[in-house]
Amino acid sequence: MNIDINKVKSIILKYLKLIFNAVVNPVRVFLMNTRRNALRGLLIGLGITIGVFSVIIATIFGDGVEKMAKSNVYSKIPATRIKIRGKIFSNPLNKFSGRKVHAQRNITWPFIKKHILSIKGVKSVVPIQKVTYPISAEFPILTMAMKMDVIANGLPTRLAYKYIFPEFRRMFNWRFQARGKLVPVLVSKFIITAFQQMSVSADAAVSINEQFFRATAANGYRGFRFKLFLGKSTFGVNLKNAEEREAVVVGFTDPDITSGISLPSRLVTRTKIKFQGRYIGYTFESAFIFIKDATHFNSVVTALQKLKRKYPAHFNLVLDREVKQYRNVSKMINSAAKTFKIPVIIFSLIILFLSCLIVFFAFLYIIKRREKEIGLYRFFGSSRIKVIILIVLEATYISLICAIIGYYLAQEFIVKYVPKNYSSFLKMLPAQVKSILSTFKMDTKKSFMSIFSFNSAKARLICIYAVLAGSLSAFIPAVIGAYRAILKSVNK
Amino acid sequence: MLKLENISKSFLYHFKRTKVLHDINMEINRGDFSVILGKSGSGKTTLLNIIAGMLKPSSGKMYFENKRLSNFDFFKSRFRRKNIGFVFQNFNLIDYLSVLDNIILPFKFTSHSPVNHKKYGINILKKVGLEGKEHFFPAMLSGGQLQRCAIARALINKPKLIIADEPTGNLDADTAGEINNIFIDLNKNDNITFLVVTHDKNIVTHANKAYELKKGVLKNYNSNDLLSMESV
Repeated sequence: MNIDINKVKSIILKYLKLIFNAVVNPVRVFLMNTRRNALRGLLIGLGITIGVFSVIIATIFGDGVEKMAKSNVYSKIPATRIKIRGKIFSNPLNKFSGRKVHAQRNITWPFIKKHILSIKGVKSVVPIQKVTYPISAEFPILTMAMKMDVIANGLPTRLAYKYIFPEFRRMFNWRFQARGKLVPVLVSKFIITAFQQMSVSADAAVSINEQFFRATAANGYRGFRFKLFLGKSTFGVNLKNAEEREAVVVGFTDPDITSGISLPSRLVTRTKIKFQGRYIGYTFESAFIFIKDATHFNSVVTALQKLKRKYPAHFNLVLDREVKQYRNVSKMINSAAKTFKIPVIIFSLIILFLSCLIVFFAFLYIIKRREKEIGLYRFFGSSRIKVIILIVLEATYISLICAIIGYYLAQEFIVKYVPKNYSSFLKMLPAQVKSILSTFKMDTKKSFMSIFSFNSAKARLICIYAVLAGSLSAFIPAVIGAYRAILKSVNK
Repeated sequence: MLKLENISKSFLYHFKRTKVLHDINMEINRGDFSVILGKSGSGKTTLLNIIAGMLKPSSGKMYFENKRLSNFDFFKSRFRRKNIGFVFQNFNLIDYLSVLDNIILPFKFTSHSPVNHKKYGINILKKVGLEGKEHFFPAMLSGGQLQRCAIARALINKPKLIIADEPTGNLDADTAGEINNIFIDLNKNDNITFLVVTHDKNIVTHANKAYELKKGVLKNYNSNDLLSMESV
């Protein structure tokens, strides 16, 4: 089969030309129109430019005020954390047998990494291991050895550091002390109060208080030392490879971390692997979820509840009174901060509406004046849709240019003008705004600029909205122009 | 070439139906120079508007080169616009476009156009006698020049038929003569068919077919009898 290349070429060229004409000609016409009517475009554009500029400035101020209020209130709320626990399944047969047989499903690191760290507002997750196998301690108190079984937690350095006494901070490296003979231990305040009560009842010569456990002259600045048995119980089980270690009290922990003692997490992992096997050794009984700032508190808790609904067997959420309280407070503040924004939103909507109105009426007027021209377009073969596209394209073209101009004007105003002429800018503001600024101590230039910063992503979004609104508001006049009878409009 | 069959048109005005055109039958052959005469209000412009596709006839059929011209049909009307050029009485040029931009305006809405619009437009302007005026604006031109420009715009699609609605109605006798000469030249040299509505005596003498519209009824006239007509 012979194919004539020239013929194929000519056919391809013909269709390319058709497509080119269909696409490029409307663009050509509207470029021609805007070039010849520069003043008309300028007048419409001025409205859009002013609108975009003022909306951007207003939203920046609204965001700034919201940020200011939030930061002010949240600085008074302490940093918060949420605790999650592994799930414990009790055997349904326990009811009848009277035994307590239960299975525990711990939290694994892949689960935390996949589901919890991806929640918005979560800063970090600190997993905590708990040794459930026998660990016992021998405390030398009141000239006798107090033997007792304890629950031990594994704490990572990040969490442990702030509980360690300042005098021990340089001496013990919490992370690497696990391999040495001397074990640094954090004791729960719960145990200390128990000892205190004992000392009161025994009518002792030495009063036991918090000072007793610290490095003082009484213990030769060596700290309070005691024996720690890993794998050995005072009352029951003695495992084969039980270890005996010397331990030092290096700090007190909060009761919400543990009611027993806390050890370096490496040591706990090692003992767990040793006595309970590799599978349980690398899982966690509980974890602390640290939140970036208190604004995210409510959203994180709701996200965790949602996750709990999805994976009911994976973890338990600990919702104590404190967490519930913080959650309610953060809910309240979030809703209060939104009320700052509402007037700004209304203001910017009004401006956008007004600039749309300008475009609408301007194009209505223009179409009345250009009726004859549009009639001629239709007479020379333009379809109604083409005419509509032509006019809407013209509006889009104008509003796009003006939105870009408004964007750069707003940027110049916030980034360059305000820092340079800050004092004259303050004079421009109304007295009420000034008083608000002074109550929040935002009067100074530095603090003001730190909060009222130019958000380019938001400004770009506003520009896109303005262009859309501009082109849409020219749509109705375009339809009116396109659906007029040719004869009437040509003979006008 | 152009054939009208029983075309009639009536308008509804104040709940009264007034008939403007009564069963018009007309046939124009290729290369003809036909003229329609008539008093004002006799329905000349209505007839031309129907042929041009700007008005819908109440009844009747229309053929161009044995193809049915349906009214207000987008695809068919494109065919009509390619083959029929229209010259308005009041020129209908766009004020803010130059002469060249004005005459190549139809190209912006058609798919069949030469690659180099401007060169083609300047050639057409030469034919009409507006050489060197392509960057002028309509406000700078005289009445005769405006009408030449309008004729150039009608010629741009290489039409087979040109319809002119009183092309010399707004002009004085000398310039009207010039415009008529252009029509006659185009008819003889380029073999373009013309259908003109006019009051001008000079062009009537060159016409080889003439009709008269009287209260919406079309009648044939011999060219010899034209001089004694009332309307002239």
